[in-house]
Amino acid sequence: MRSILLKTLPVFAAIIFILAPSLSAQEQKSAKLSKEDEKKYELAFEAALIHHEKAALLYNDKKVDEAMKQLESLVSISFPKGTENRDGRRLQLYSYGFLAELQIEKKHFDKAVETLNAGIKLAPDVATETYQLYMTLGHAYKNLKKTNDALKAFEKAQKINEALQKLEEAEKKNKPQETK
Amino acid sequence: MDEQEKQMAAMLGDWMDGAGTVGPGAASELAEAAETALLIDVALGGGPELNPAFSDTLRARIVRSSSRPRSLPSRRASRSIWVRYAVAAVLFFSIAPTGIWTFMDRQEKLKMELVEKYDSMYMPYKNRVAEGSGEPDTLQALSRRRVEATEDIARQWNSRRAERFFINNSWERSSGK
Repeated sequence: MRSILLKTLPVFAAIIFILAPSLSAQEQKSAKLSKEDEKKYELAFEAALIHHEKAALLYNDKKVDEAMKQLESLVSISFPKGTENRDGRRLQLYSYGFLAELQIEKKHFDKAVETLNAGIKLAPDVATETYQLYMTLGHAYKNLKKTNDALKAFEKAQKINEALQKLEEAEKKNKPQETK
Repeated sequence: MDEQEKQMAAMLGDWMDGAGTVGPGAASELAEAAETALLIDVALGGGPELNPAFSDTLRARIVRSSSRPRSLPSRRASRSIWVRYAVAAVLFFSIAPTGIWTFMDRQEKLKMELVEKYDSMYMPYKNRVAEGSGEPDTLQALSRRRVEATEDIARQWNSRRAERFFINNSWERSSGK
């Protein structure tokens, strides 16, 4: 029995060694988008860029209401699944924060909180955009004089910031090893 | 008068030492003092036994005098308990809420300070929009160009999509579906 086990063990090890890279490749393939989704994403990203540029221009021209409309249309763009970490999505999350800030400027604090919560739902757990959304949420709650909620949001933002800093440090540590 | 008092004190001292006598001819004050001294002496355990009738009267007096203060302090004690309760209640209903309120107020102030501190760290998007786009004058020209460029791309995308749509439709029609 022992001899059979000893004989088959290297075979199993070899199979695992051969299959492991192919499995990870399969995972990578599944993360990739289909051609149709890729096109959809590109279209959505272009549209998002246009809306954002327009909003920035209008805001600089002090046309806040029109800028808000542009940002509202940007926020309503639907991106295909699997594009969570891509630039289009990040721009959309950024725009959630920008829209909320304009709503705060217009003293529509409750609307701002709604917008920010919607953005936070879509945002990943640890990202610069998520940090900024929580900071803006804290700012909105502070204006609403909801001290406890403001404090919660700010503390959450700080936790995200700490996690981001740790990630950055880990990346810095890994980089010299890769170059070696 | 002083001389007489001194004389009486000396006589009383002599009598207490057992040397002199205080007879019925002595002054009334001296006789009273002698009687008191005799009573003290009896109370301390020495001297002759008192007349039983006098002893009973004295005992009754002592009992009465000792019972009187007992009854008074008990009332005072009950009163003082109520006073204590009243003081405690006043303290509780005035100082305790004030203390709680002060504590809560301090906590709230600390929270507000912390929120203010965090809020000062908040970087508004409008600043970043301005930062990212550069100077306002050049920004407008540059951004407009970028907007036009991106709009062109979007238009091209749409026209391509339209073309594909019509091609697909014609293919569907030609295939006899």
